[in-house]
Amino acid sequence: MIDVDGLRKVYRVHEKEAGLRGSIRAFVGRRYRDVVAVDGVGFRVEAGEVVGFLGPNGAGKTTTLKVLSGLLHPTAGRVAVAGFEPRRRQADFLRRITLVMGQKQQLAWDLAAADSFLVNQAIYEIPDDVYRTRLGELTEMLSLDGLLGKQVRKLSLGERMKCELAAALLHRPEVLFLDEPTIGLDVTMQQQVRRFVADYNVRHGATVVLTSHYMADVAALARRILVIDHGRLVFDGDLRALVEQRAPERRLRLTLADRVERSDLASLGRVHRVEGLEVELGVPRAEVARVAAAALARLPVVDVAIEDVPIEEIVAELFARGRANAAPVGEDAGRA
Amino acid sequence: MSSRAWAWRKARALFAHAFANMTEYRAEIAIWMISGSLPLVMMAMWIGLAADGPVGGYAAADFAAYFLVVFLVRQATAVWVVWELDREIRLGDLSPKLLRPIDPLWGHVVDNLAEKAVRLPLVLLPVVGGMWWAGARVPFTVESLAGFALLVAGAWVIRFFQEYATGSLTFWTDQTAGLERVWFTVSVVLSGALAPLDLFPATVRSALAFTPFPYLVDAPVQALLGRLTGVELATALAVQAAWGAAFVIGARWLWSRGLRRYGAVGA
Repeated sequence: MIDVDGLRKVYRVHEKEAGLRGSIRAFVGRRYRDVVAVDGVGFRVEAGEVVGFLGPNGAGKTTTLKVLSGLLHPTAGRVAVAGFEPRRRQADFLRRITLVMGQKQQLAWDLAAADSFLVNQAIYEIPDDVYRTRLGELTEMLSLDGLLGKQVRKLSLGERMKCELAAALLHRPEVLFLDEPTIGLDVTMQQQVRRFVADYNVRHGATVVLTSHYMADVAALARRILVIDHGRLVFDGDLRALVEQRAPERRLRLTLADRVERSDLASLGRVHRVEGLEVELGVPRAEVARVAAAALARLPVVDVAIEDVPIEEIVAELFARGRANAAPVGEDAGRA
Repeated sequence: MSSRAWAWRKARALFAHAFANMTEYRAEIAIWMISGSLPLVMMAMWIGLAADGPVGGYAAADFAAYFLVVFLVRQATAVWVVWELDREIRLGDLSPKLLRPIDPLWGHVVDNLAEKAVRLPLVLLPVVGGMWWAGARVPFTVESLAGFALLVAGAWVIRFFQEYATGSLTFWTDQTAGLERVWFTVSVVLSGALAPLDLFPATVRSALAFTPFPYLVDAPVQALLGRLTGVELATALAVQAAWGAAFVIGARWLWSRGLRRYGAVGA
């Protein structure tokens, strides 16, 4: 469904020093520099797959999505989505995809969402009966009752996002690009949006590519993740494989009745954290049961919990390693 | 549904949406209308100058008729798409529009026409009232009305696509607002919005004949006032058509080249 090979995107930005002197200099002679946003990224996504893009700010996630949806022309490389070259933006391609941007909206601010929906119905050439069925389905899946007739600017952020999602899906696209779809939403609303995307994927077999800052989004939706950093792909694979591969340990959390010697803790595993009577130990996966039993036998344990290392930590470590291994892409930036 | 039926359906849906939007901005439209009242100021000035007798063949009532129709023509051909494009391209608001399987051009065209549907009824009132008050006489004939309608439509095409071309330059530069100011200043003087062009020296007039400016205001006004011969009307329409085609082609070319540079800022 999606085939990307050697994708590279370079932006040319003009540079200006701060202050009056910088402004005068920029007026007389402009200096430009090239910023490499995406640097030789390649991957394939099969139809029906849900893939999550992870990466810090400015890593190139959003740029990649914008190239995939045809908004940006790639500087180099080959991109195919649903058999089309996105940058040509043919109508048949645009009818098959959608891009939901958490921070950009398509709904008219001063009108009701229903008004904008009718425009989409006409533009995407959706017959009346099909439109009614789909609108009914989306209303049910997203609990839109009572929202569609309200002026968009009077909706809450979460309500607006739900209406944006509905507007973006009325034409029932085969490929969904979701760029930070839950940004700024409260936890309940984030969960609702996640559940909806998962449902949509199952119901219609749609391919979903999403970026998010919230690890929970990605963990809940995507089995496969692409980790991108400084424009380069540093991991592509199963989320669980990432966790097992990068985190051979699990965390043993103990609540103690009394203080114990640090050496007693160290004999059980790697001491991660000691805060008062709360202790966190890193223990190899295979030995968790044995160590937990030993702890219960030897220490005044009130409570015990066994947890995985948070994915955030694993990914943060992955970024740190990627940075140490790869030549920073930013060095390309000197060329004017 | 056939593709023609869908095209009609799209036009209707876009118009309904734009019309609903424009009616939300009633106050803004009224303000824009008032900001286009320069011809009425010029009218007062020229009527004053003609108090002691006609100036260049124009009596006071002739000036009143001329400038009231100038006001009408400028209101009917008011375009602001350069500001829309400037904002959309710089801030990335163009992105959602580019995702739809319809050229963003059509949205802008329909927005403009919907605004006209709200604005023109409001404009006609002062124009007709002014004519009556000044005792101006407009010889309505089929030819003058048809010529006027065609020339106003042609002037709109030139204005709209000239701004679309200028707005498309935002893909390269953030100085499009300045460029638009230059065009605006030149066109106010040379289109006949400050003074009827037949008061200009003959050499200037013949030089202007090859530019788009006289056909933006002066030609449609003179057509409605019945002052153009058949040949003059046909010539005006032909020159307008040539300029219109040039601006349409230029705007489309700049747009398609510019899209390659689009940065899709934000989000």
